[in-house]
Amino acid sequence: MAKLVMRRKATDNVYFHPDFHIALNIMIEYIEKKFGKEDVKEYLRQFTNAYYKPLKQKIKRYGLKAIKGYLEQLYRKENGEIEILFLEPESMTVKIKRCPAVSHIRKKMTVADSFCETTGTFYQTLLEKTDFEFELKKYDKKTGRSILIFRKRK
Amino acid sequence: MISCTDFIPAYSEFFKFLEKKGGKKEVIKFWEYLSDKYFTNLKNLVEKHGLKGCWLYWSKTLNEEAADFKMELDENRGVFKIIMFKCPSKGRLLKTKHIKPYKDYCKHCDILYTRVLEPLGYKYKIDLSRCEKARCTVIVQKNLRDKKITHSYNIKQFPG
Repeated sequence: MAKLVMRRKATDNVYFHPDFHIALNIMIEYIEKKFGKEDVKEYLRQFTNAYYKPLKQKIKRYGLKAIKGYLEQLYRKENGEIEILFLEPESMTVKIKRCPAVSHIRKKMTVADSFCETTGTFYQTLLEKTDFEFELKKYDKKTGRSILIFRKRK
Repeated sequence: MISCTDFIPAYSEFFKFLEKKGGKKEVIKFWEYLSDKYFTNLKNLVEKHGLKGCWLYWSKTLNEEAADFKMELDENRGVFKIIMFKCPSKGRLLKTKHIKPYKDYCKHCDILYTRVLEPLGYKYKIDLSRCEKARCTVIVQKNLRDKKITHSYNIKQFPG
């Protein structure tokens, strides 16, 4: 029987593990079933406030430009498809045409009912205490296709 | 959508969330649930290929996670080991200065994998003594009840 050895350095591979979308879905489903939907939101608020603090700072400083840059980079990296439109002054509409997270989860399991909160609660929390607000105009739970609106608060 | 590359901090914050809800036992309950319900891929590979199933499983995950590691499979001696020089998960958490990793973050590996491998007749040992440097060592060995296996490996023989 063979002896096998593999040595890899971090630089040998690109850090990209799409099954982590599935793991996040499992966590959302677990909270939803065990504690309830409000707790899914509570968890996502805790995570967003802790981890995305630097992004929130950027949004405070650069406004919509920072959100646009973040979204473009995110969907490019994840091989998603989005369209960004500026239909009104100080407002940005983002059409998510292909959601890589939902597409990947659906290959292996059912998408948790509250998974949409990884968009809704996430962006709402991200924009708290900034000059901008978020509206989840449309969200198709089956595909993750959605319309997001980011606009300056009145 | 939250990027899959941001999952590790989401995972660490999730453990903190659970601990706040019901203490450490709530975190352990989740690890057990996760292992029993969702680690079927590792279970199926080990059931089908024996110890080589570990090789096949971690070949995929550690490469996708861009880990810095050495992995060895010696089927004659019935031992599989991973020497993790830099764990991509813990490394990422340590690098992100504005968040503090969950205090027992690395212990999830022990519970997740032990629960899959031990019922299949394998001993899973992990040395987490250097986990604050994102280093660890894992050894999976056929159970010593198997008479062909005569040597038990001391995990300290393989410092990460």
